Amino acid sequence: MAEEAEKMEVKEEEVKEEEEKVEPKLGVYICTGCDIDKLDIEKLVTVAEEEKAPVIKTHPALCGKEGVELIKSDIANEGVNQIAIAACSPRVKWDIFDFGGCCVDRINLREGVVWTHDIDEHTQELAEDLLRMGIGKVQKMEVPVALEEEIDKSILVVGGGISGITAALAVANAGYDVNLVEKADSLGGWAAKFSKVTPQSSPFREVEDFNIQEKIDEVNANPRISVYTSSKIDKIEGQPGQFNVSLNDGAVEFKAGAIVLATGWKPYDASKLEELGYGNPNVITNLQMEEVLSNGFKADSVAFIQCAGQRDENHLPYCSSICCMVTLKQAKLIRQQNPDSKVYIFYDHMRTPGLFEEFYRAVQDDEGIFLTKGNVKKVDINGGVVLEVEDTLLGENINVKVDKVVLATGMISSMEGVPTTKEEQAELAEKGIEFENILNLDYRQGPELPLLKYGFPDSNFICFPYETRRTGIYAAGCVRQPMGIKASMDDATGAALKAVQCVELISEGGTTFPRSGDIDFPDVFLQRCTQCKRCTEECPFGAINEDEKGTPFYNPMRCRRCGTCFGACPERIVSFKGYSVDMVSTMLKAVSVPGPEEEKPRIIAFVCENDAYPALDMSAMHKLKYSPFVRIIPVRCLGSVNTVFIADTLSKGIDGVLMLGCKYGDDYQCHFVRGSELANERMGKVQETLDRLMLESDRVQVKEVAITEYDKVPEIINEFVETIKELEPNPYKGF
Amino acid sequence: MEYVEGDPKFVRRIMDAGGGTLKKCFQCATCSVVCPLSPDENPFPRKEMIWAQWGLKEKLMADSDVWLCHQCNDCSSYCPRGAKPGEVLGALRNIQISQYSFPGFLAQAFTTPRYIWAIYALPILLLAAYFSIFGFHIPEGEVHFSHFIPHQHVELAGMIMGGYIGIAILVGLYRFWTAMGGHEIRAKEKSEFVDVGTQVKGGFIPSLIATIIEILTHNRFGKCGESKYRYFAHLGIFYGFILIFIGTNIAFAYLLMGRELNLPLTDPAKIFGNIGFILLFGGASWVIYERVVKRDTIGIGGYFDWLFLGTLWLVAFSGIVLEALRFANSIAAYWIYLVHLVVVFVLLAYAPYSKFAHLAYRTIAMTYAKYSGKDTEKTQL
Amino acid sequence: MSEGKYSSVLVIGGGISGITAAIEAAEAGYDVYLVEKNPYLGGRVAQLNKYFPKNCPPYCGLEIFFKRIKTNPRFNFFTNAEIENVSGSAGNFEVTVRINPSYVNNNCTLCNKCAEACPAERQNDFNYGMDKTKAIYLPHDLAFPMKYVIDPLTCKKMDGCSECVSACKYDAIDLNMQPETMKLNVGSIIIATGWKPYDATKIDNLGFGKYENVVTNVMFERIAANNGPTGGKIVRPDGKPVKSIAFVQCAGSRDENHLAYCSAICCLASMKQATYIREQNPDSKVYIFYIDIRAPGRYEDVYAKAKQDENIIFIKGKVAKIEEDPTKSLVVEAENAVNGEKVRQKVDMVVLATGMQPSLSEIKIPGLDVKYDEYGFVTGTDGVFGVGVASEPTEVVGANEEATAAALKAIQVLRR
Repeated sequence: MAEEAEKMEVKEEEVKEEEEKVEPKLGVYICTGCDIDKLDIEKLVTVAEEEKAPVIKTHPALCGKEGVELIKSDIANEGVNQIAIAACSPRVKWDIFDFGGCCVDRINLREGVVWTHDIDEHTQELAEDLLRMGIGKVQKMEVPVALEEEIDKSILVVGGGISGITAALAVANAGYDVNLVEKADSLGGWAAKFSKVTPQSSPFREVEDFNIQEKIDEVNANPRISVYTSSKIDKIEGQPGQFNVSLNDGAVEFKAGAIVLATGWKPYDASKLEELGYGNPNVITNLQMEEVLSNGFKADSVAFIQCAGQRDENHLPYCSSICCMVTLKQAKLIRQQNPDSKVYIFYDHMRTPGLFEEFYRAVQDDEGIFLTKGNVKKVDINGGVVLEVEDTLLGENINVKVDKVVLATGMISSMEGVPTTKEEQAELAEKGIEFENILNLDYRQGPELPLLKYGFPDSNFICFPYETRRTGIYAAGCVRQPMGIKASMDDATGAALKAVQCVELISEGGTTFPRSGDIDFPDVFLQRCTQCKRCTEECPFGAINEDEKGTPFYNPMRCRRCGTCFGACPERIVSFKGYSVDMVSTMLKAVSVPGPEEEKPRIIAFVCENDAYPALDMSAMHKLKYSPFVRIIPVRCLGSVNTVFIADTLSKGIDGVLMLGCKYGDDYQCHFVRGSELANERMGKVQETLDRLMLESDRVQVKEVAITEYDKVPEIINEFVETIKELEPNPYKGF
Repeated sequence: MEYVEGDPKFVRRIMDAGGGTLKKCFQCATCSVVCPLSPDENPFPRKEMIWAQWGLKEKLMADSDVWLCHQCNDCSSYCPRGAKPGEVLGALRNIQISQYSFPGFLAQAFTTPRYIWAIYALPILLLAAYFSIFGFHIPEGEVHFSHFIPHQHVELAGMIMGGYIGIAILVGLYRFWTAMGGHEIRAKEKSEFVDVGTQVKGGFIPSLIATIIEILTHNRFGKCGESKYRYFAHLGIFYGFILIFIGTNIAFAYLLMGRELNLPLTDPAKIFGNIGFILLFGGASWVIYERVVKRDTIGIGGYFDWLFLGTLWLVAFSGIVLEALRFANSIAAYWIYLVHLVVVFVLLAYAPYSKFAHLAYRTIAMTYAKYSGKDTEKTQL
Repeated sequence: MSEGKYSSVLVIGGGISGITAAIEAAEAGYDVYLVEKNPYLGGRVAQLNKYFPKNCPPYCGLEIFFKRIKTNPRFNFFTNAEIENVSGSAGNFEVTVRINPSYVNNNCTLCNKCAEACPAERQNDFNYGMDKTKAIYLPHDLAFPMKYVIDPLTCKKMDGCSECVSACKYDAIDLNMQPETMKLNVGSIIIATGWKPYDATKIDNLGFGKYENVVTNVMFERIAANNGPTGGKIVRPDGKPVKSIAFVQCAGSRDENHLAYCSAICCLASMKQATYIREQNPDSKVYIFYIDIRAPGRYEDVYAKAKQDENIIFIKGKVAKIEEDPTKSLVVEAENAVNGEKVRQKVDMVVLATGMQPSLSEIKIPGLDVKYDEYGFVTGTDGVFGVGVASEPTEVVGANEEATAAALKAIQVLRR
C-alpha cells in the first residue's frame, strides 16, 4: 500500500512539472449588460488593476458573439489562459463561456449582486470583493490531468438468480466480460422453483410459464460469461477498475472493474406467525405453496391471508409489493388443478397497481374465488382450519372453515443480518452469533454495501435509484427492494448499465455520479498527516483505507470528488486542482474588512452549489433582495468546508460565517450523503475554536435550504445578518 | 359456530339468471352512491354484489332491498368494472320469485327457455279440450266473438284462474315476508321507528298504503337518471294495463247486465281499452327498444325478463290486431282471438311464477322496508 | 468505443425518463440525441411541488441532471422539437427532426423587458391553465435551456406587433425565425413521451369543470408549489381558505368508462398532498376516499405515517357523487363499504386523483412502426424501447430504473 502511495506522488510531481512549463496569464472580463453597468464599472476595473491583471476588458454583452470572440482572440493571441468572467451566474451561459484548456471562473455580478441588491456603496463593495475573490480563485486553479491507470472492464455479478442472470446477460450483450458467482450449486435462485409466474407482459391477463432454464443455458453458452457455482467470495480488494476478487479461500482469483450485487431475498420466518396458525401442517406460506403447486395440489378449500407478518410493526413494517399478484396466481392455479375447489382471499388492500390491474380483473372472473377485505383476527384448528374475520365487506364478521390456509408472507433482503461494518462484525462475534458476509470488501469502513432502511442496501434517491455509497458497486433486484420477476429483470439491466458506465468513466480518469466525468482526483500531502482518521471515517464512500498505524490510503477510483476529506482534515493536506486550500485561503484574504467604526459587517457564506446556490439564483430571478454584507463562496458540498477556514475567517475580522446546504436526517438530500450533516456536527467542534478566540457561538451557523426555497433563502440570510449586527463587531478587525 | 361458505353453484345460478357480470365487481361502492333510490344505512346494491359473488343464498333470498331497486341502471352505467349491478339485482329478483312462488316445482319451468313449449302448450291444450267438449266452428257473417266462444265461458275461466293465482301469490308472499323477517319486526315496538323521510310510523297498513301511493305516482322511477325513460315507459305499461283492466271490467258489467259485447269504439269500455292499449303498447315497445339498444352498457336482461315482456307485448299487439280485424269483419279475427286468449293465459295464469309477480313482491318488499325502518334517508352530521 | 454501423441513440421525449435514458447512455460513452417537444427539459416532474416518499423537490434532481448534461459532450438535445419521420430498422434508423422556432435566440439574458412590453396573454400550461403569462415568457424557474420563448398561437406578430423586439436590448428576438429540419442516423430509439393528465371533464358525476372548487391532483400540486399560481398558499380556486379537503381516489381510473388500468401513483400522490395541507394548516382535515390504497414496498411507510395523523381520515368507498352548496363548498358522497353507511361529507375543496394517459394514446410518432397495447402504452419492437409512463404507469423510481435499463438495451443494439 505504501508503495502505491509513493507511486502516486511521483506521478503527480511529473504532472506538476509539465504544467509549470506553461505561463499562467490572467484575463479579467467584466460584462456591463443586464444592469451590471449600474455598478461603478471604472472602480471595478481599478480593482482588477490593483490585482495586477495583465488583461482587463469590459463589454456590454459578453455572452454575445462579439463578447465571446473578444475572449477567444485573447486566448489565441495574448496567451490568456486564466479567465475571470464577471457577469451572470455560472449556471447560465455555460455553453457559451466554455474555453477548453483554460481555467475559467464565473464571478456572479448579476444574480449575485445587481439583481438582488439595491445599488449603493455596500453593493459596490460587495461587487469589488467578489471580483477580487474571483481573480484570486482563478489564479489558484489548475487544469486537472486524468489519472492513467490500467483498468479492467469486466463486471463481477454476485448472485445467480434471475437478477444476476439478467445482469450477466445484459453486460455480456453490451460487449463486456462477466464473472458470475453463485453460492448454491446451480443457477436459478427462487424463480427456478416456481412452476408458473404472474403475467410478465401485455395484456397481463394470464398466468405464464417462465423458462428460466433457457436463460441459464444462454449464460452457460455465452463466451463472455464465466460462471462459478458453489462459490463464495472471501475477499475483494482494490477499487473500481482494479478490484481483485478472490473466491473459495483463494482457489479462484480474478479482476473486476465494477460489481453488481444481486443476491436476492429470503423469506420471512413464518414460525413467528403462530397467531396465524403457523406450526400446524395445514397452514403454509406462499413460498411453500409454490412447491406444493408444482407437485399437484389437492384441496377442497383454501384461504389466503394477505399481508401475513407484513405491514405490521411487530413483524415486517413494509409491504413486499408482489404478494397480492402471487396470491391471485396461486388461487388461479389451485382452481385449475381442482375445478371443484373454493378459494378465499382475505386482504386489506388489493395491490395490483398499474397494468397489473388487468390480472386482478381476469382472476376475479373465476366463480370459485371469493374475495373480501377483512382482518383475520384468529386462526383455530377445529376439524379444519377456522378463520375469524372482522371488518369484512359482507356486512358482518364471519367465520370460515377451510382445509388449508396460505399465509402471504414477505421478503427480506439477503443482506438482513449481514454485518456491514467491522464494529458490527465484532459485536456479533462477541455474542457468539454466526454470520456470513457476502462481498467481504477490503474497505476500512466495512465489508459490505451500507444499508438504507429495513436491511435493504438501496439508494436514498428518487431520481437516481442506482446511486450507491460504494463507487462501482451496484445493487439490483430483491436484495435492495421487494419486487417481482419482471421488475427484477428490468432492475438488473439498469444495474448492468451503471456497472458498464462506471468502468468507462473510470477508464477516462473520471468519476461517477454526481460529478460524472470529473477527472480532478484529490491530491494528498501525506507527509503532514497526523493519522487522526477523520478522513477515513467520514468519507461517505469508503474511498480511503488505512493501515495499522492509521495512515490513510486514498483510492482515487472510489472517490466521488465530494471533498468531505478536504473538509475533515485538521492539517489541510487534501486539495483538488479545482478546489484547494490555497484557493480558499486566497479568496478569504481577498475580502476587504473595514474597521469596526465603519459599521459594515462582513459575512462569508459557504453555499452548496447543488441546492442552495440554485435557490439563490431563483431568488434573483424573482427580484428578491438580501443583505449586501454577505460574500458567497460556492462549494461542491458543505462537507468540503474545513473548520480551519472558519477559524481563519474569523481571525481575519470577518464577523460571521453562514453555511447553506441541503436537508439532512433520514430523508437526506445530500448527494454526497452526509455533507450538511457533517457540517452541522463539525459546528459543535468549532465551539472550541470560538471559545478560544473569545467569540460568540452565534457567529457560525449551518442552515438547511431546499432548492425550491427561493423565497426563504433571502430571509435566512437577512436574519443571520441581523443576528450578527446585534453582536459587537468582530474584535479581530484591523489586526 | 356458524360458518360462511362460498357457493359457486349459486353464483352460477345468478349469472345464468341474467347477472353474468357479477364477478367483475371490486366493491368500490359507486353503485350505492349513484343509485337515486338507495337508503343511507346498508345501502344497495354493493352489498348484494359481494353476497352474490360469494353465493350467499340465504342472505340474498331474504333481502328486500333488491325490490327497492327500480332498474334505473344508473349503477350499471357508472360501474367502473362493467359489473352491471342493475342486471344482477334483476336476476336476484327473478330468483326470489322462483324461490318463493308456490308450488315451487312449477317455478322452475320459467327460469330456462327449455320449457317454453310447455308454457305455451298448456293453454293450447286447454283450448283444444274446450273445443273438443263444446265443438269448434268459425262463425260466418259479422264478427261476433260470442258466437265463437261465449263470453261467459271466458269470464268463468278468468275467475277460476284469478282464484288460483290469488292463492298462489298470497302463499308466495307469505313465505317471502317470513324469510325477510317480517314476523320479528312485527314483534318490535312500533314507537322505535322515527318518522324520517319516507319512513312511516305505525304499522303494516300505513306502510302498505304509503307504498301503494308511491307505486301509483311512480315517484321512485322519477328519480332515475340513466334510464329516465323507464318513468314514462313503465307508467305507460302500468296505467295501460289498469285502463285495460277497467275496460275489461266494464265489459264484464255489461255481460252481467245482459248486453251484447260487440261494442263500438265510442263505448267507454272501448275507450278505456284503447287508450290503455296505446299506453301499454307504447311503454312495452319503448322498453324493448331501450334494452336492445343499450345491451352493452346496462344489459339486456335474461330469459325470465323477456318471457314476461315478450308475452305482455304480444297481449297488447294481438289485442289491437284483434280489434282491427273485428272492425274489418275478417274471419282471421277468430284465429287471432285464439292467439290472444293463449297469450293472455300465459301472461295471467303463470303470474305467480313469472316476472309478472314483481307486482306483488315489490309491493310487499317496499312495505317491509318502510315498516322495518330500512328505507330512510339520513342527513350527514 | 461502439462498433455498430450507427453509433448513436435517439431519445424521444425530454421528461425525467428521457433525460435519464439519454444521460446514462451518454455517460457510458455513446452519442445521444434527445428530442423534446416543449421549450424546456424536465417534463411533468418539473411541475410537481414535491415527490413521495421523501417529500423532496424534483428541482433538486433536475438540477443535477442538468449539471451532468452540461458537462457531457456526447449529449445532444433539441427543445421545441418534434419528430417528423422515422424510417429504417434496428441498427439503422433515419430520423427527420423538425425544430420549431422559439423566436428567441441565445442572446436572451432573462431581463424580462420583452414580457413587460408584450400585449398578448396566454393560458399558463405550466400551471395547468390556472393563471396567465404573456405570449413571450420564461417557461418556469428552472427552465433548461434558460431562455424566453414565444408562443406562436397567442403572439400578435401576424398583426404586425413587435413590441418585444423593440424592448430587447440584446437582439435576442427574431420574429422571422423559421423551423429547421435535420436528419439523424441512429441505431436505436427510446420512446419517453410520457403522459398527460386524464381529462377530468369526462367524469360527469364528479363535478370537474362544473364546480369551481373541484380540482385535479396535478392542479393541486401547482397550488401548493411556491412558484405556482397562488405562491404556495393553499387556497381554493374561488380564493377562500381551505380547512378541509376530500381526495377522490381512482377518479377516472380502474374504470372501464375512462381509463381501465390503475395509474399506480395516485394513492401515494394524494397522501403526499395531504401532508401539504396538514403542514400549512394544522387544524385542517383531510378525507381520502379509496378503493384500495396502493403503497407497495417501502412506500408503505407513507401510508403508515398518514394513518398516524388523526386528522387524515381514510374511507373505503369511492366518491360517486359531488354536489355544490351555496357557499361553493362541496358535499361528497360515498358508501363506507366496511360499515355499510353512506357518508356525505362537506368539504371546502375536492381533489380528484386523476390518472395518467400515455401521450401516444392519441397521437403517434410519424413513420415509427412500434407496437402499442390497447391503452396506448408502448410495448416496443426491435431496436425501439418504451420507458417511463410511455410504457406503463409508474412512479419516478421505477421510471428511472426502466430508463437506465433501456439505455443498456439501446446500447446492445448498437453493438450487434
